[in-house]
Amino acid sequence: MTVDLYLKTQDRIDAIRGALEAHKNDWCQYLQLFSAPFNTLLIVRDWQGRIHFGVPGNKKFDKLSESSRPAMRAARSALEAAAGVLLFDPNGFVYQDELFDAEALWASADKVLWDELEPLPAYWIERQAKEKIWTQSPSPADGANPLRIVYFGIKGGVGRSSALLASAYHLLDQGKKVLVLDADFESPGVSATLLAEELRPDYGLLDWFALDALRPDLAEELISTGRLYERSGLDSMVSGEGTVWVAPSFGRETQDYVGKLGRLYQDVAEQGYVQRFKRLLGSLEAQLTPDVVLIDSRAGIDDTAAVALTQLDAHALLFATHGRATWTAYEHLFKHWLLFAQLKDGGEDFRSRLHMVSALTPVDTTYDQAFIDASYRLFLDHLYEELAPEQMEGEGFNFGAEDPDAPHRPWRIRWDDVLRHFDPIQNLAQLDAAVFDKAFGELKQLLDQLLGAGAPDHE
Amino acid sequence: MNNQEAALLRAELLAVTQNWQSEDKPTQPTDIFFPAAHVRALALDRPLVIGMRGAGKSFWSEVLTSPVLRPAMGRFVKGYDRLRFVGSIRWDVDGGEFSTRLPSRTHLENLQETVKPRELWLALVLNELRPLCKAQGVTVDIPDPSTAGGWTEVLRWAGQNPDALRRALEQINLALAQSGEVALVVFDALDRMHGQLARSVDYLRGLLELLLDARQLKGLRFKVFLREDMTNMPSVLSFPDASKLVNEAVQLKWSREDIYALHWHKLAQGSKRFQTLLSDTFGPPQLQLGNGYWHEVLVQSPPDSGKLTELLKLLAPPYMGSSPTKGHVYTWWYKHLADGKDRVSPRTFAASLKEAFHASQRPNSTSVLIPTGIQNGVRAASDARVEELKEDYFWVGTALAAFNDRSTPISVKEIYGVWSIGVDGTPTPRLISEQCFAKNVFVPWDEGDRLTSNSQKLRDTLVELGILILRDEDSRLDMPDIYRLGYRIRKRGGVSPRR
Repeated sequence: MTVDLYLKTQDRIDAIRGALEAHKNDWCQYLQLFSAPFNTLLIVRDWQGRIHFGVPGNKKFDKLSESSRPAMRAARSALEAAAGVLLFDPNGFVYQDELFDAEALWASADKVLWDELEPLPAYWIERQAKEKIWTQSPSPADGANPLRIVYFGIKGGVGRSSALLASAYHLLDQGKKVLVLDADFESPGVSATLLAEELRPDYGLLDWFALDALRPDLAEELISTGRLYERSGLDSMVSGEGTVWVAPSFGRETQDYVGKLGRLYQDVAEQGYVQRFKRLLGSLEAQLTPDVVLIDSRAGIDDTAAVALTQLDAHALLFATHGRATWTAYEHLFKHWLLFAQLKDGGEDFRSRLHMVSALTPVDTTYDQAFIDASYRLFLDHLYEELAPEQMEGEGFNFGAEDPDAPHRPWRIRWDDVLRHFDPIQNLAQLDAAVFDKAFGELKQLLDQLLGAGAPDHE
Repeated sequence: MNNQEAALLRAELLAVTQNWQSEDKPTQPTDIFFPAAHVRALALDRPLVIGMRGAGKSFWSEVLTSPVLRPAMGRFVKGYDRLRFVGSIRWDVDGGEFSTRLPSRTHLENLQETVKPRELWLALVLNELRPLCKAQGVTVDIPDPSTAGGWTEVLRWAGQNPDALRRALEQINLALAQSGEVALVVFDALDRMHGQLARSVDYLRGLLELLLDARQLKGLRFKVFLREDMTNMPSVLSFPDASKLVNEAVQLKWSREDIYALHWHKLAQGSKRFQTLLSDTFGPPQLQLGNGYWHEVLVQSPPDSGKLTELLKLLAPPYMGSSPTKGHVYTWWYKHLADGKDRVSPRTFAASLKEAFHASQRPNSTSVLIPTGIQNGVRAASDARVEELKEDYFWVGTALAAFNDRSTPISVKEIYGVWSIGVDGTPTPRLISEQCFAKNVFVPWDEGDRLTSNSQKLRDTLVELGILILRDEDSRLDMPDIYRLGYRIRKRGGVSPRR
C-alpha cells in the first residue's frame, strides 16, 4: 500500500543503509578524492520527512575516470531506489558544485556518523521543524557542572513532582544547595508546592525565553538581579548549610503565558531550544552555585524532553508505572533515541545516566517482578548492547535482569495514601521518617549514590 | 597501602591460592570451616542433605567418615560424642569391580528381579555394620561378600530373606540404644552407582523409604547426601509420608557472607601478611579453635557483612569502575558468579579468586585486586564451572547447543522449536536420555512422567540446576553470566556494538 511506503520510515532508512553497504567500496573510493569536509556523504531528512543526499563533486562524477563512473551511477541508483517515495522530488541529490554555500551544509554541526557503515563516512542530518535535538552530540561531561537530575515521565500523574520535592528535601537535609527548575512548561506544578504564592518570584523561566528572543542582555539581567528564583519554604524546616532555590516556569508578574509558550521552541539567532535552555541553566548555575540541580521535565513522548535527557549531561529518572501503555510509549521513545543519538561503546553516553523509577509502587512482589521483567525487556531490546560470548555483563553496556546497578532496575517509590497530596510545607507529618522513608527510601539511596556518597547497595 | 605493600601481599595471597586443589578434600581439622547454615546438615537427626554440585556434599561426607576429622566436629554438632561407629556407602570412593564394600557394576546389572530396592539397601547397610555387629555380639546371617559366593550370593540371600535383614538391623539398634550409643551410615555419590540403579528412580525411592523407616531406630542414624536434581522428580518422593523427609531435608547453602568468610579464612591460613591486615583492622584474634589461624570476624555466626565488606575494601577498590553505578565490588563479584538461583559454590569463588590475584598483578597498583582482574577471575571461574559440570551433567552442552547462533534471553518457544528438531533429527531431550543410558548416567528427569513434554522436562531441569532462568511469566529463558560465558553464548541487546 502506498500509505505504508510513506509511513514505514524505519524500513526506508534501513534500505538506505543497505544500499550504502552494498556499494561501500565505490563510495569510499569516490569520497577519498575529496578533502575535508567534502570527503563525506550526507543523508538529510527535511522537516517534511523527505530524504536528500548530499554528494561531493557533481552529478557527472567527473572527478572519476570515465571507466569508474558507471559504478558510481549504479551506487546512486541503488540509493535512489532505497529512499523510494521519500526521496525529495524533483531532485533528491544535492551536489557540492551546485550549491551556493556547500561548506555550510557539510559543516553542519548536527550531523551524526552512521558508524556501522565504517569506514564509509556517511552522516545523517535530521532537520526538524522544532528542534534538532537528537542529532546533536551530547555535550561532553567536563565535570564543571553541578550534579543535574531530570525527572521525566511518559505520563503525568504518577507522583513525579512529589518525588522531586522529596528529593529536594532529602538533599537539603544533607546540607546541599539545591536548585529546582520547573521546566514542565505545558503543565507546570512543582513550584507551587515548593513556593507559597507570596514567595513566587516576579518572573519565570518562560519569561526568560521570551526576553531572550528580544533582548538577550536583559534576559541575563533577569537572572543576575534575582528576579527569576526564590528560596523555598522548605528551607525553614531544616537547619544546616543547605538551601533550596526554586526557579518556577512563571512568576507573579508573568503575563500572556500561553502566547509565550507558543514561541518557546522557535529558533532564536540560530539557536534552538536546546542551546538556549543550556544557556539559561548555565547562567542560573553560575549565579547560585548549587550542588545539585533538579529539573522537572515535560512529560510525554516529546522531542523537547529529549533536551533534558540527552543533552544536559544530566542523570535522568524515568518514571513509570507497570502497564502496556507505559512500556509501549517508552519503546517509541527509545527507538527514536537509537536512531539518532550518538552512542559510545560501553554506554559511556546518556544511557549510563538513565535510572528507571517505579512510581506508585504497590506492596506486591508480583507487581515488582512484572515491572522488572518489562523494564528489562525494554532496555535489552532498545538500549543495551549485544554482548559477544566472551564479554561479560558490564563490559559492554548490558546487564543482568537482577543486577542492582543496572539502569533498568527500578528504584521504587511506594504508594502511600498519606502522600496523596504530598505537601510537606503545609503538612509536616508527611516528613515523619517512618512515612517518608517508606515511600522514598530507595529514592534517597539513589540520590546518595549519585552524590557519590559511598551509598549502600541497591538490593 | 602503597604499591609495594600491595604487590607483596598480592604475591603471598596468590601463592596461597595456587596451593588450593580443585578437589578440595579436607585432610586435617584446620581445613574445616563451618558456616552456621551447615550445622543442621551434620546433625545426626537429619538424614537427608541436598546440595548443588560443589556445595560441599563430598567434603562433609569425607569429614564424617574420616577418623581424623570427625572428632573435630564434636565442638560444633551435638551428639557426636555418642557416636560408636561410622560406616559409609560412597560410590565415589568404594565402588569398583572388586570392592567388598559395594557390589560392582556387573552385579548390579544382573540384579533385575533378585532383590527389591529396599532390601538391597538393607543388605548394603548390614554389610557395612558387620564389624560393629561382631563387637556387639549380634549374629547376622548375611553372607560375607569376601567369601566364595561374593556379592552374587549376598544379594541372592538378601532377596530371599528380607525378614532376617530387618531382624538383624533391629537387633543392632537395640544393642546400641541400650548403651546410649549411635551408629551412623553415610551415603554419597549415588549418581555414580552403576547400571540399572543409576537409571531407576525405584532405587532412590527405596533408599528414601528406608530412611523414613529408620527414623524410629534410636541407635542407627543415616546421612544421605543427594544432588538436587535427584530429589526433584515427583516419582522419587511418591510414597506415603515422603513429605516428612522432604520437610526435614537440609539444603547445603552458602550465603554470600559465608563464601567471603570461608575464603578470607582460607587465605589467612597461609599468609602472615593477611593475618596482620586482619589484626590491624579488627584487632588481634581472640579465639583459638584448635590449630591454624582463627579470627572471630571470619567465623562468627551469623557473619557480619559490614566487616566482610570492609575487609574486601582493603584488598580492592569499592567499585567496579569510577562510580558506584559500575557496581559495588562486594555485591558485583558474588552476583556475577551466581547461578540462576543466586548460588555460588565455594569452588567457583576459589577459582575466581585465584585468577583475580593473578590478573591483578600491576606493579603500580596500590590495590591488591583490580576490577579488570576480578572480571578475568569471573571468566576463569565460568570456564572452570562449565568444565566441572561436564562430570555430573555431560548432557548440558548438548542441550545448550540450541543456543548457538542465538542469544539469551530468548523465547521459550524458540528453544522448544530447536530442541524438538534436534541437531541431526533426533529431538534433543531424547538424544540426552539415549546418551545417559549409553553412559550409564542418571537421566536428569522422570522418564515415567507422561504428562509433561520432554522439552519442558529438559527446561525445568536446567532451571532447577540454576543454568537457565525463567522470566516474563515463563515465556523467556535467561542465562546467568557464570554459564553464558563458559558456554560461549551471546547476550541479547538491541544495540549492535561498534567495534
